Formats: sequence, structure tokens, C-alpha cells
Amino acid sequence: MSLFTKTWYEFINRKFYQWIGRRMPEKSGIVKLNLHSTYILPTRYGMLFGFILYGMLMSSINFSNSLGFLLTFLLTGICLTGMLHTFRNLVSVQISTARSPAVFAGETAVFYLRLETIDGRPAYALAAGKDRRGGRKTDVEAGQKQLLELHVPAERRGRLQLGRIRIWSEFPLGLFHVWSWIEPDANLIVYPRSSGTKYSTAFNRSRNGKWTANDIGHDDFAGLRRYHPGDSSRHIDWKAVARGYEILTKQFTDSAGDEIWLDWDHLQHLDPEQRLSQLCRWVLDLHRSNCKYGLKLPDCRIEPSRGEAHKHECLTRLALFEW
Amino acid sequence: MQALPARDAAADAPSRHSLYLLTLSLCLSLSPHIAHIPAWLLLVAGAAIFYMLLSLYRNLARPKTWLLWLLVSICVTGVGMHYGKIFGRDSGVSLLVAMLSLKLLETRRYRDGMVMAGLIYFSVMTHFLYDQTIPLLFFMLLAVTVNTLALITLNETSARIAMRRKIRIAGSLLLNALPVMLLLFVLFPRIPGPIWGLPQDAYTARTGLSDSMSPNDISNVVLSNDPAFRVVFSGSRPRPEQLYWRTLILGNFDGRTWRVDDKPLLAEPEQLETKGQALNYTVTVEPHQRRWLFALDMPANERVLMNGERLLLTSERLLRATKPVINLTQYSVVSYPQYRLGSELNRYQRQRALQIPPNSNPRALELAKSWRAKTRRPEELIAYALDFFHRDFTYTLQPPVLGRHAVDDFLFESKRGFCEHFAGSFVFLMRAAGVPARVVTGYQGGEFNPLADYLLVRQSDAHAWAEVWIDNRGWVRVDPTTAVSPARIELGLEGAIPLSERAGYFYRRDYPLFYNLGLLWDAIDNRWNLWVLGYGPEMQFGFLSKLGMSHPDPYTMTLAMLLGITVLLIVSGQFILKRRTRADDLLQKIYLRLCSRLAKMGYPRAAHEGPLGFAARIEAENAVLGKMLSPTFHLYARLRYGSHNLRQAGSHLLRRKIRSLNRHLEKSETPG
Repeated sequence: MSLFTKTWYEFINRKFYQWIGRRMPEKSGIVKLNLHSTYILPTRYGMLFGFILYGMLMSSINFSNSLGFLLTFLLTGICLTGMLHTFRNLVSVQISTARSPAVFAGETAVFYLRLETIDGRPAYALAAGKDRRGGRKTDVEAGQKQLLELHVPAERRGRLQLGRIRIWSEFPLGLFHVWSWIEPDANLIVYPRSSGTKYSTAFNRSRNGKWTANDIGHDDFAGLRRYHPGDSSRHIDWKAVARGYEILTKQFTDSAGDEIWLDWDHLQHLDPEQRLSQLCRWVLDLHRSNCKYGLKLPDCRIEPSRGEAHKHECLTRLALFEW
Repeated sequence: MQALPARDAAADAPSRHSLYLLTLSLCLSLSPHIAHIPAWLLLVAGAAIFYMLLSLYRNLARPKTWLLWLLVSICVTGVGMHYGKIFGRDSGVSLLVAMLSLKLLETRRYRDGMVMAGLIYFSVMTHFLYDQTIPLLFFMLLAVTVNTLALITLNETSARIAMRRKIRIAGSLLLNALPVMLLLFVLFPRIPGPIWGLPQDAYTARTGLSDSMSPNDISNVVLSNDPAFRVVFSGSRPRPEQLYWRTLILGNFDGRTWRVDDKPLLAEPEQLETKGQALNYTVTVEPHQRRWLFALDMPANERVLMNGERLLLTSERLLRATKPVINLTQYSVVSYPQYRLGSELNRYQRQRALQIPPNSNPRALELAKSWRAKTRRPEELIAYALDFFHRDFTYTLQPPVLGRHAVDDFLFESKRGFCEHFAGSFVFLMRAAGVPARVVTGYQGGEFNPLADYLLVRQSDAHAWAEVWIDNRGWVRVDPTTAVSPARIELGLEGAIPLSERAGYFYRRDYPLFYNLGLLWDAIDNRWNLWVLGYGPEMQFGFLSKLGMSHPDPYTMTLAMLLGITVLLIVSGQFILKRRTRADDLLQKIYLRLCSRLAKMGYPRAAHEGPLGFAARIEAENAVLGKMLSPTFHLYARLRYGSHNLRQAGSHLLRRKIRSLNRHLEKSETPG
């Protein structure tokens, strides 16, 4: 491709997407489709069908065959009506965003959208995705909401915007492809990739001296909880397993007041992203061992605590940290 | 744009359910071809479909692609050997059946399914090369619906949609498509075909006549009740004995078979003098793949038009089309029942009209010579012959087989036969006696349909008679069959043959119910022929002019067609895109109306109040009113926030309740 054609191609492409952008419904939590933002073209089977119809028409003329004409025109009518059906199938849909769970960088983010029809009738075989034919087809029953999953690779930490997606359908005949570009206001948090060394006392350069050199959180038995993958095998209550109970993990708490501070500044030998990954890993480790931990970053400080909410807060801080 | 992701093979495979439907659709759309394809191919196609069903049911592996290609090439070779060619109607249809049924086994992916569905739609069309009757129209609608159903099933999600709903979608597609079909049928500019020529066997010959006549020819036809042509008379109707539809002249006899003269006379048309009243009529001919056309004795007008083309009138005044009649066609003729045909016979013509092969039928020859010894007047010779037939001959459709001297065998041995035996031997006797004569075949009679006022001539009305040359009178028609069986001419074939030889129940006068149903059916068939099958360029022009289009040229028609389709799509779009009123909205509307009424009465609803809270507050302020309102408010709350299914039905209930409530409120207001 010469430079000239390439420039032209890019120019046309840019203009095209600007045009699409102008027509697109506004970015919003609830997206309603309309005639303005919905596009329709025949699929390749639609083209094939058109070709067959053309052949049938020519044969009818050649043989002056009246029933042939009737059949050709009946199929033409079905084709055109099918186009309207395909169109309705998409344009009746209203999309709202649902809460999407956070993921770690490198995983696949799953966005949840809620689909419902606004004309009191069901819509069938709808799909949405980032690319032309992406996504699994799903049906939306009348008066009910259907959850639609969108899989997007989460490459970098931070807030991942769903961005522009393509919602499409070819129902009922598969001869027309109707689609719309929409931008539902959906985002989720991508935690940093968890990596680095396991948290251990050996790596303690704490200057507050508040915590002991013991293995973290192994001093006081606090109870049992259901086994999660990743739990240390040393903590499994094997006696209970032998007795035929489900697999349980022993929980320990460290001595009251033993607080671990995870500090950005202690990791000066690593570059910033690696530091975040390391901190992420520690947060996970400490959460799993039910320690009380706090996080210190240059721009914030989270007091030591425990639990899911605390973990989420710490990881979110790490995800959104800007250095 | 990002590149297409590789699609999951499993997700791409059509569901088993859709394959079942596709198989069903294929069987349905190919079923009428059972009569048209060779038996071995039927076996192959049947086996392929059976294996497909079995493999779906039992989850068996389907044959490999190379095996299918091998089978296809065997089938192609087989069809080529069976028909001696590949390109033709029958061979083409056979190939289509073979390929579709084998392709079915190869339907592995969504793509294959879609292609298959498209081809099935196409295959429906091939039936119309054989037949275009009304039942086929219904067959077409059924086959298209089932195939549309299969297409919808191919495109649904893996979570199957209930069959009932899919049928409703297919039905909606079909119903909305019907007006489009009618509009296009009427307005699509018709071009006279053919564009690229027809396969030689494009339409089956179904005529009752052939250009040769040997013993047993016509009797095969006589049993067919298919219509040959229909006639509408404007003005007076002819009498039954005038209904001779002269079609072919067979002048050449080889001792056994009568044939059309292969060397046509390059002569002027035989002169015609007409007298008496003319008969004006329009003939609608069923396609019969021959050029010959039908006119009553004796067509007079010089210019007869059919599809805008001039018809030919042969030297013997027979009507001929310029091309074989492959479609239903119509033409108007003027005939004179009283006429004189031919002024004089030249030597060559006389010689041909007297030709009999030497050394054939010696006994008949002798009989004729004995007559000629008595008289030389043609009228008397004719009378001798008719008298001879009248004595002890029997009219039957099942004559015995005749030997080498067919005329002798018939005249002196079997004495049983039908029109062609009589006509053939009569002409032979006349020629042997020195009177120029020729055999004429065509149709005789016909039946007036009292329901629609037209004359129907069936294949079973095929007939043969004679024309004898009499100086000063020209060619005179003589029907020797009348001498044996006058009923054949007066009542038609039905009256002439014994009950045991008759065909079918319909068209038989001794079963009045069936007979009348048959007449009704034929009247419908006639309309179908005229309005649908005969709708070609001329009829379109005429019809559109009548509708008020001043210049129905292709451009205007195309414009009108596009406009019409746009209007139709907008109208059906209104139906398809219409919002169904939601039960929730309806309930709320009713509720809010009640609330505003209460507000006027001095009980405004606070914005934060739900129905139950509001009802409780009113009850606290006004116990009587509260008691009255409470059930209604409770019903509303139950409907609005309860199960979804209740809402649609509940809104009626709520409305009724509120109506009676309103009446109570009015009553309670008036005294206060």
C-alpha cells in the first residue's frame, strides 16, 4: 500500500468512526437503541439468497412460469419482512449496566450488561462484543432482564472502561446483520498483576518493630473455615478430613495489636509497577492468612484491618495508584 | 476493525433440532419429484435421507466428504447414462435431487445449513416445470413455511425457542410477504420469454392428438379427462353437432398408419365461401408443446393474434402458432358453421387425396370397387359406406388388435372400434372407390360449464372424422362414427361407451354430486388459468390500463412497484415495530387516575406513599371511604408488585373494580 492510499484509508476510517460517533447514543448507564444509531446490511447468506432469487426470477421469465414468479416474489416478500423482523429484534432492546467484578491484570475481565426489551415482546439471538461477530448469542424474554457477559482482556491495572461495543443480531432468518455501536457506562477495577516473593519475615525491614519474627498469623488458633484453593496444606484440619467431614482450613490470628504495614517506600529496589505487583501479592497473602495489615502509599494511607472490603480497598488503591 | 476471531467449531454446528427440520423440509420440497426421477436415484436419495435421520437419532458419524463426492459423481454419471444428457428438465431435476440429498449428509456447519435452506427454496421452483395447478400453489406455501421454520431454527440460540413461537414468526413472515408477492406479481414488468431458450423437454407433451394415427392411438387419450382448451362464446352458441374442432389433416396412408403429409402443399389457402351466422369466440389453450391450435369449422378471419403475434392459417385452413404453445395462451377467432371450402382440385391435389398403398387391404378394395360399379356419384358412395357401418358395427374403446391389413380386419372381422377406425376405413373406402377424401383429427364436442358460461373441451373429446371432395360442394365433412353411434356426437363420449369403460368418478353424469363438484373445480381452474397462469405481457398491459394506469410501460410499472413496496413495508413495519402496551403501564395509568380523583375529593397522595400506606392513611382519616377503597388498593399492590403473569389479566379486574368504586364514590358524594 502506497503512502498515499494508506493516508487516504486512515482518513476515511477516521471520518467513518467520527460519523459513527456522532450517531452513537450518548455514553450512559442505560442505552436505548433507535433508528438513528442502528445499521443493517445483508450477511453473506443474504447475498447468496439474493443471488438465488435473481436466478429464480430469470428462470421464471425464461419459462414464462407464473407460479415461478409467485414463488420468487413470495420469497422476496419474506426476505424484506425478515429484514424488518431482524431490525425490530435489536432496536427493541434496552441495555443497562450491571456491577462488574474486579479482576487482576492479565486475566479476562467480565463486564455484565442487562438486556431487556421495551416493546413488551421477546428478542432472540442477540450478541454483543468488541469485534464484528464476537459474543455469545442470548435471548431476552418479554418483561425480563437478561444478563449478558462481555469478555474483555484486562491488560493493565487501573480502571477499565468497557468502551465502544457492538451489539448485533441476525435473527430470524440470518440473511441480515443488524448492529449498533453503543457505549454503556460500564467500568471495572483491574488490580495489579500479583507477583514477586511470598511475604515472609525474612523480608522484614520494618522500622516500627511492632511485629514479631514468627510466621505470620500462626500463633492463635481462631477457628475453622471452608477450604479455598491456595490454602496451605499445613493448615488443613486433616483429622476432620479423616473423619469424613468436608475439607476445612484452620484459621489463626496473630496477637492483638500485631499490625503489618505494607509500605511502598520499603521496596525501593524495585521499579514502580513491580512494587505494586509485589504489594498486591502481599495483600493477597496476608488476607489469606487473615492477618491485620495496612497499606502505605505515597499519596495515601490505609489503616490496618482485615476482611474482604479491606482487601478490595487496598487492591483498588494499588490499581489506581499513579506514580 | 479487528480480524474475525476463529469461531468455535462446536458453537458453529447447527443444532440437531434444526437438522431434523431441514431434513423434513428437504423431504417435503422434493416429494413431488418421486414421479419424475429414475427408481435407482429415488433409492439413493431415500437412503441418504434415511441415514441422515438415523445419524441424528443415534448420533452416528456421517460419511466423509470424499465418499460423498464419489457418490455425487456416480449419480451424475448415472443420470447422464439414464437420460443420455445432463442438461434437460428431467436430468436437471434428477441431479438436483441427488445433490441436495447428498449435501444434506454434509451439513456440518452453520454455513452448510444456510446454503442448504437456500437451495431448498430454489428446489420448490422445479415443480412448476411440470405442473402449475392450484394444488401446487398450496404445496408451495407449505414448503416455503416449513423451510422458513428450518431457517429460523438454524438461527436461534442454543436455548431453543418454543416451536409455537417459531411457527408464529414464520407465519408472520409469510402473511406480511403475501401482499408483497401480489404487488410484485401484478406490477413486475413482464418480458415475453424465453431469454436463453428452453431445454427440449421443458414441458411434458400432454396433447390428445398426434401427427399420425394408427390403431389404438386415440383410445389412450380418450381416457384422460385433462382439459385441452376452453372457449368463451360471445353472442350465439353453436349447436352440439357443430362442435367440430378441426386441428390436423392426415392425408398419407401406408396401409396401417395415417400421417400428416410431410411435403406441405405450397398452395394458396383453399378458398372459403361463408354464409349464415358467424360464431365469435375466444379460445384459451392449455400448453401442449405443439404449434397447432383449435378452431371450429370453419375459421374465417385472416388475422388472428396470440400474444401479439400473428397466427398462421395453413392452405387447408388449419390454425397454427409460430412457436410451440408452452404456456397458457389465448386467441379470438370468427368461424362460420355454414361454408364451402375449396373451389377446385388440381391434378396433384386429386392424386394425393386418392392415394392408397398398393397390395394392401384387398377385401376393402374389392368392396369399394363393387360400389363404384353401381354408381359414380360421391353422395351415393358415401351413403353406401355409412350404411355399411350402420349395419353391424359396435362403438367401443377397447377394440381387438388388428393385423397387417388393418382396414380389412376391422371391416370384415372384428367390426368393433372407435372414431379413428371408422374415419380411417371410411377414407380408405372412399379413396378406393375413386372419391378424394382425407382424415381429419381434432376435438369434437365439449361441455358447457353452467357455473361460468364457457365450453370446456377435454382430451377425452379427441375425435377423428373425414372430409370428402364433392365437385361443386368442395370439401364436405362426413363423420362415419355417427352412423354407428349417434350418441357420441350428441352426448359426447360419456354417452357413447358402456359404463365399464368409463374413467374416474368425476365428470360422470351418473354421479351428480361428483359431476357438479367437477364442474365447480373446472370453473375455478379456468379462472386460475386466466388470471394467474395467463398473466403475461398483454394481460398485464390490459389489466393495468383498466386499473387506470395511462401508460403501463416498464418504467412506470417499476416506479409503481417500488412505491407500492415502500408503502407495504411501512405498513407491515408498523405492525412489526409496534409497541405492545405493557401491563405495568396500564395498571399504573388506572391507579393514577383513581388517585387524582381522590385528590379532588380532598385526599391527595403524598409522593412518598405507596398504595397500602395511602389506603391506611385514608382509612384513618375517613373510615367509611377507607373501607371502600382498601380492597382496590390491595389488589393494585398485589398486581403491581406480585407475579408478572398476573398483570395482563389483572388489569381488567382492577378496571372493573375501580368502575364500581367510582359509582359508589359518586353516590356518596351527591348527598354530601
